[in-house]
Amino acid sequence: MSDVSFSYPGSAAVFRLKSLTIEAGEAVLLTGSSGSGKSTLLGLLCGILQASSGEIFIAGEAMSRASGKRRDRLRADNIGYVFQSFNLIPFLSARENVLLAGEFSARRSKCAGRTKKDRQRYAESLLTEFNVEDTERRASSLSVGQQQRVAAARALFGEPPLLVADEPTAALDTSNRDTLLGAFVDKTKRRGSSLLMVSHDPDVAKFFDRSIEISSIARWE
Amino acid sequence: MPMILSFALKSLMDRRLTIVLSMLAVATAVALLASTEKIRSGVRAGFDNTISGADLVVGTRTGSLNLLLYSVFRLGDPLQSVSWETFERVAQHPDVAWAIPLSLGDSHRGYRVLGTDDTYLAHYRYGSDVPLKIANGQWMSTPSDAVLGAEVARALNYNVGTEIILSHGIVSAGFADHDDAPFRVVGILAPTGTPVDRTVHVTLSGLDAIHGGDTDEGATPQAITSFLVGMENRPVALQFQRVLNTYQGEPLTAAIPGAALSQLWSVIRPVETILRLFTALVFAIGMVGLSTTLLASLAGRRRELAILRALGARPSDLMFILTAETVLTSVGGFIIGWCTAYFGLLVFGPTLQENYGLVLSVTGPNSFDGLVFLAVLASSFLLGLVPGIAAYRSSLNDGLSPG
Repeated sequence: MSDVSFSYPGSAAVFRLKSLTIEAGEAVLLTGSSGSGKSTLLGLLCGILQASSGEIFIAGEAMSRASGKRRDRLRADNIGYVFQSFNLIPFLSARENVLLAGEFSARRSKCAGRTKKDRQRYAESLLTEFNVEDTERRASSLSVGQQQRVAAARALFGEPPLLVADEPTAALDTSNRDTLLGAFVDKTKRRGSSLLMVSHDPDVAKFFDRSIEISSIARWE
Repeated sequence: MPMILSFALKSLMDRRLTIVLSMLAVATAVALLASTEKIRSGVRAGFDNTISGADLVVGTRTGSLNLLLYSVFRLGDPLQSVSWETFERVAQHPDVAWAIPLSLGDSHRGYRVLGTDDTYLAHYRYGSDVPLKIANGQWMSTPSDAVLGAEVARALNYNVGTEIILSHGIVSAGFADHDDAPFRVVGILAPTGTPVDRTVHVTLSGLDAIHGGDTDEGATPQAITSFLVGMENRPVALQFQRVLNTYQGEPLTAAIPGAALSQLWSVIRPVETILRLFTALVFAIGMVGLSTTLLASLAGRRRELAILRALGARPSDLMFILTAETVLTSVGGFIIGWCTAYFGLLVFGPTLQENYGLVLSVTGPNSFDGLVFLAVLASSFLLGLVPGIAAYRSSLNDGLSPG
């Protein structure tokens, strides 16, 4: 991302970002106080928000210049996203939630397996990696910690080059937090993918290659 | 988009209680719409199919509608009689191909007794020019013979050979039974779905006999209630109608059955219109209720939609899901409603037939049902666009973290 500017419709405030580069296989932690523009940055990076100027590239593709439809496609193909909480569709099973990531991206679906059975096996093995045993269970009946692990597994489905996580451990206790982050960073790196994670928690910096304070690269004007 | 469709289905299943209630609202509307239409068209077809082939129905001076209702449908006010002499004169007119005498006034256990002769079997037509058929036995030949309509035989469990006693008037009160002169069933007609099924047919001389007349086979009856006329040439009917209406011998009314029936429909039309208006309103309320339910559920589903967005779903995908949900719900409602109406009429049809003489042909989906289906589809699609567009907009504005 370089020289990006953005403002919400009907708002005078302009978000300006000088430069942010994440290398392939690099795990980066983004910190900053509320309202400092972390969500805006993630929205721009994922192509949900459209920058008014500047360049955003994801895996070599220009997100900033793409049409809305193309941005959705780039996001589906290249980004695995984990929310703070409530990541899962409550009425689908853990496995179905993971498989959902392949439904909007032919690339990730193909990477996960040719046939439906292959993809199911792939999803099962991802869930096993995150110690989720009962993959047929409805997402709504899983504990918060399990839900976040299913979400992490889903983000990795089809090996997207970039993982984005918005405070995924905020709802977890320390031990659950460490288990999830350790596994998530490890598995991301093992696949050669990059990770950008936003967190308030200074403790988690130990899992990352580097830590960036958002005010050092972007601000609201 | 099979995945998106199955997603929409699973999402509906997840909220099945609300959805089933919305479906029932649509189902009620559809059932009401379909059954009132079936009853309406059944009544109309029942009347229209009762008589065909006859060009004129002739009786004493009365309204043409009442004449038709009484002599053909056995409804309405009794008529004064017409002399046999007049009937003979008309029947022998060179323009007249045939004439069927009808003599009403007696009953048997609530069923009308009709005195007539062989011309009835030969020339009476119903439906699309269908003649009467004898299912069992034979047509009557002696004054003590009776031929039953299919329903009379079925309901009273009568067979060829059963002896029956007629009552004077239409209410079987016991004291006015003509029990001195029993009749014997010699034949049973095949079902027609018309008032013929609910009629006991006897000969004119048989009827005269129980009223104390001459029992000789050759004797001519004094009078009849009315008669049906078939012309040699149909176009002459109008002219002949005028001739009969101005007949000098006695006051007569000649009515063209089709014209009298359309007179009936024009009386009923405003009622039909109001009925249709009300069912259309019920339908509209059902559909708006559905849209409201789905719109109200939208707030609780913003998170779900944000997840799909993060996974790469396009705003149009979300719109598709929400619109598909509305359409699926209302199609489900349509199916429930239509089946309710269909099986309801199948179950209650016989009751309607027995109590009101209403013969409903319970058929499969017809063009009206198709029209209702299209209306359900179109209106649910349009109404589904409301939550659909709301989801589309909020998914563009919310970013990735909707509250």
